[in-house]
Amino acid sequence: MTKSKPHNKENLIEIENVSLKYHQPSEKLGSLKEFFVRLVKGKLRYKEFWVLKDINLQVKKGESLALIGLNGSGKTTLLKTIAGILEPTKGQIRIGGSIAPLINLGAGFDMESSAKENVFLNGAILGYSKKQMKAKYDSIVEFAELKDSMNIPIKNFSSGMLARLGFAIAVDVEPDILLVDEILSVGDVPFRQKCMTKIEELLAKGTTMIFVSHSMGQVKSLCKKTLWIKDNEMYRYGDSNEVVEEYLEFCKELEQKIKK
Amino acid sequence: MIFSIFWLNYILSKKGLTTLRRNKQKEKIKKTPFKERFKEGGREFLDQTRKNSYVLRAMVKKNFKAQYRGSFLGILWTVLNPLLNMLVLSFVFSNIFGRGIDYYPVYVLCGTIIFNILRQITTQSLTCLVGNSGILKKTKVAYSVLPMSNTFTAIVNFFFSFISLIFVMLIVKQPFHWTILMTVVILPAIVMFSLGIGYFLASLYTFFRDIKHFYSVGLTLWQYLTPIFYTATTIGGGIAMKVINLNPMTVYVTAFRDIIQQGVIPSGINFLIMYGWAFGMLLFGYLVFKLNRKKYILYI
Repeated sequence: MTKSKPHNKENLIEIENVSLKYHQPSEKLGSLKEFFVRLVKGKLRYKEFWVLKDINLQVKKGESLALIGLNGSGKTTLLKTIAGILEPTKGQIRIGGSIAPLINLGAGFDMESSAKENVFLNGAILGYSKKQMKAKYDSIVEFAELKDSMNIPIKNFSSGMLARLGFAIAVDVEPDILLVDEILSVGDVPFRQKCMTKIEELLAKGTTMIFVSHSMGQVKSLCKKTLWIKDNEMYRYGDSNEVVEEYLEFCKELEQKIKK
Repeated sequence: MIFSIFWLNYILSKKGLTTLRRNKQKEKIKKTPFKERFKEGGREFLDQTRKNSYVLRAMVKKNFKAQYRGSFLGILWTVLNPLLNMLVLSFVFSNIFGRGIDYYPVYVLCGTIIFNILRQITTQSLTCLVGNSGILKKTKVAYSVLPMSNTFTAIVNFFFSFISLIFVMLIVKQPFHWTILMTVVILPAIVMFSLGIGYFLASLYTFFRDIKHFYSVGLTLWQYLTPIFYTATTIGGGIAMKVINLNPMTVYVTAFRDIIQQGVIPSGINFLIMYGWAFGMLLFGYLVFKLNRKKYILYI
């Protein structure tokens, strides 16, 4: 549960030879009977595939890193591994700070409860006590601009409102490391702008961020370094401008192939 | 109890082990004083426990609210539900089994509320990993907290049921004994026993969804094989009798009745059996739960 600290004190995140193997049954076994039948027949085979292959990465304090790549290349999986939701099959991850995973906003929201109750529930999941959340409550509500709807069950919220609430909570707890997964694409334009400003503010304060996005504009403006993950492996790592250029060219080629 | 589980959790978790191992390596290189190492480990453990307790509290609150959401009587149902069940059972069975049992309504109610602890904890734990997949897939929450939160919900429910039990005792003029206070001693055993089964089932259910249906039938059978509305002696022998006597729930139910109705403290051997089952089941369930820990995320 608790992570070991990075060896080098300048680093906040150290990822060493991390690989992750999904060990999934080739067909989903839904029942006990099927399981035993197959076990007896000796047909209990698993399809193995590596969703992450040999990732090595070091992120310094205050650095912001972007992860880019096609769908299914393993960006989110890497984020989840860093957040500790998934455990690497091989290798080690060392982390020296608190993490707020913004992997899917409003993860752990209880649709039947009111927005107010959900603030505390989500806070608890992120590791904050009721007292701490009470202190932050007002600023969360203010940021989310949902003052009038805090007592409504969130099943009646629109997806945009949910995203606002989720973002406001996750950002307001001011973590050392922010893991952001394609969440800036939700919400209306003014709110998106507000989120960007907030993230920039956090970065200026020295928060470390790992950022997954398909918007190359955001990547360039927010992150100095970019990692391009291709086919579950590290493909390019370096200055954002260069990697993004290369990635865009790669995408163009793909596009032309499709057109043909 | 909670503390010991968190402690076990920490020791069993790989990180706990690696921390220990890492500390050993450190010792070779730097020779960190033992005191500091101890402090560091302790701080990590406390930090983790504190965070888990926040989640635990929030989950209990959520569970409890979800239970009676949208109903007019709300929390009152926790008192009413066992009462009404008892009324049904004593209305149907008082002429069949009730003869010769003093204060039959109290007898039935004692059995029902003890069995309800088991029912609630196990059935809620069964689906808790799958049901909370949204949380587990996207945030980092200790899995073991989820079944545990169900136990707290069940304990709160038990206390409300206990109020209704006292009402019934007053109505049928069942004399009170001081041994009623011994409930506090028996309750943890039943809760631990149920939690053990809950852990086991939660683990199993993530891989085989059939378990849900099996278990609901099994639970009904289990209920009938527990002397809830009859006495073990009415069965009069045979295989059923043997099963009833081996059934750990029989011990719990009987012990609870002894302290409520008879004013008798269960014997030392009975305590040994109760806590033996409790610790044994909890350890077994928890180990199964822990050992499969890494696989859950792939199945939920």
